[in-house]
Amino acid sequence: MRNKNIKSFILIPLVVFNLIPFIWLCIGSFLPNTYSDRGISIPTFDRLTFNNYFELSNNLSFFIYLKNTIIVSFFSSFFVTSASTLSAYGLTRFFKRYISISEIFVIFGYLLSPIILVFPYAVILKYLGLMGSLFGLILANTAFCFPFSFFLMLRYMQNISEKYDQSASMDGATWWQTLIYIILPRALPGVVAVSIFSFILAWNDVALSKILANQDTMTLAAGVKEKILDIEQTQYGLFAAASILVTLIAILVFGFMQFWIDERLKKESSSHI
Amino acid sequence: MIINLVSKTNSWFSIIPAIIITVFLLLIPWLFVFIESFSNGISGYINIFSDSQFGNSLLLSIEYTLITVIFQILLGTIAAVLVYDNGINTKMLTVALFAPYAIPTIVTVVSWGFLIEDMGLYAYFMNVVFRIPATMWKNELAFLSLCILSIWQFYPFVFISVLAQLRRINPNLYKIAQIDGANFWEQFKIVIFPSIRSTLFAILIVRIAFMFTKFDVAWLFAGKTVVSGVQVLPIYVYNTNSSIGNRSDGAAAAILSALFLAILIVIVFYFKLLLKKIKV
Repeated sequence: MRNKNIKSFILIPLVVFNLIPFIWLCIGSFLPNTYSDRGISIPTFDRLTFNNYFELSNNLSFFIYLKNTIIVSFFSSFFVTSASTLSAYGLTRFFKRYISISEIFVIFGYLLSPIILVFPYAVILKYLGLMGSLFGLILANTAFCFPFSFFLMLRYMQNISEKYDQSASMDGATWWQTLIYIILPRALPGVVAVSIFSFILAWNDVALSKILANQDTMTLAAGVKEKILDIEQTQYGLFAAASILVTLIAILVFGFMQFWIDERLKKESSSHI
Repeated sequence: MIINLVSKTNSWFSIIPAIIITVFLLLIPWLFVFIESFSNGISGYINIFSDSQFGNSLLLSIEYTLITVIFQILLGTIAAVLVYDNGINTKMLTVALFAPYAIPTIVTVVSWGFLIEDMGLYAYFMNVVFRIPATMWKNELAFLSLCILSIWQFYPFVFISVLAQLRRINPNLYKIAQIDGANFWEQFKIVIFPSIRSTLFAILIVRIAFMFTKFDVAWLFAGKTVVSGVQVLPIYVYNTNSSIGNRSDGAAAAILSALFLAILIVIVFYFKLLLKKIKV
């Protein structure tokens, strides 16, 4: 029992160390936007204000960036998920002997960071005339997220017994009918994992958006840095409010996805019984 | 059998997306860069390796990678072992410990910026306790701040991976060790460490590759003027390549190709060790 207490004592500082920055940020978002009001002075109630959030809602570029981020995250997540699901199915069913070589390729792709990939992407996007467009950014995010998503889907597909495929084709189903009606419901957890993973990566991306997008197509992280952090008088309060909103929206999206998927899974499992 | 054959017609359609993405979005761009790096013979490579800034950035990156990876693994493993062997509500604890990794980088970096600016909580605390001038954290001590921030943000990755592996240990094994009177260190040595050794090794390789090429944390941290103390290699790459097209000596492409090869070497090393392990 004494042992357990000692362990809790070590864990408490860790938890505090983890959470202090977020608490500090939350407080900062409710303090006046001026520099002299920052800092360790205790935030009394009369100094608390919602001004930062109001100011943010008047900030047009913030909403443009938000819209861009939602579009880019959604579409790259969609492309990555469908491409990796389809290809992982094809590879594990029809082209088995290439599995190990493509695993080496995907681990390699996984370890390359966006800053190494982004300049080659810039070359190809310039060539295609897509530089600075949202579609170009979506393609770049898709290529960046694909290797690891493909790796995850390969694992899921390998774990689904091929007996399902065999019995489906006995009944006369084509391979894509088998994929959609038989395999996909069973691979749903993997599909969800991949879509959330690629959504988060696109949502948090800085490097791709900074280099491949222009002023109108930037996503939040790069745009907020440029418009609020890098200007002459850093607007800390505004930045704190923007950060809180970005985090909340991300949490809401994941929460909603999780909820939807749980419902689907319940439905699926009950319909199989 | 005939049905089987018929059903698999056009099955190669299924891997077209993978082939398109690999060829058009990964292979061809790299080929372009590789060819461009030799556009002036090997002078691009010579220019890069003779640039003193490159040497400094490389050294700084190696330091950054070593420091952050070692502390991430230590902190992550300690947290995972403690949470695994704790009676209190683990779910809330796991969320709290995982938070820095799950939240967008821009938010984490900014929230740290708040803490270490001259009136920030940490800067103030360090000033009162250790008499460190509060303005130093973003200037002379910028590298140290960056390291602490990176460790804080990425140790949850180690924590969650190790915890997942620990939960696979047969609980009886652990209980037997406890009943036999093994102290905490003995339990760690005999039961815990052997079961997480291979996971730790995999994490080590991945973390080294990730931290060595980490761009966003250092770039967002540095702000509009990059303090020379935090110009790690990815930032140097960014600065060199932002002038792509302006420089015709192929230096920008050369640095990318060199980094690409460095990662390739890490992967080959990784697979060699992995294969060895499987044989043993």
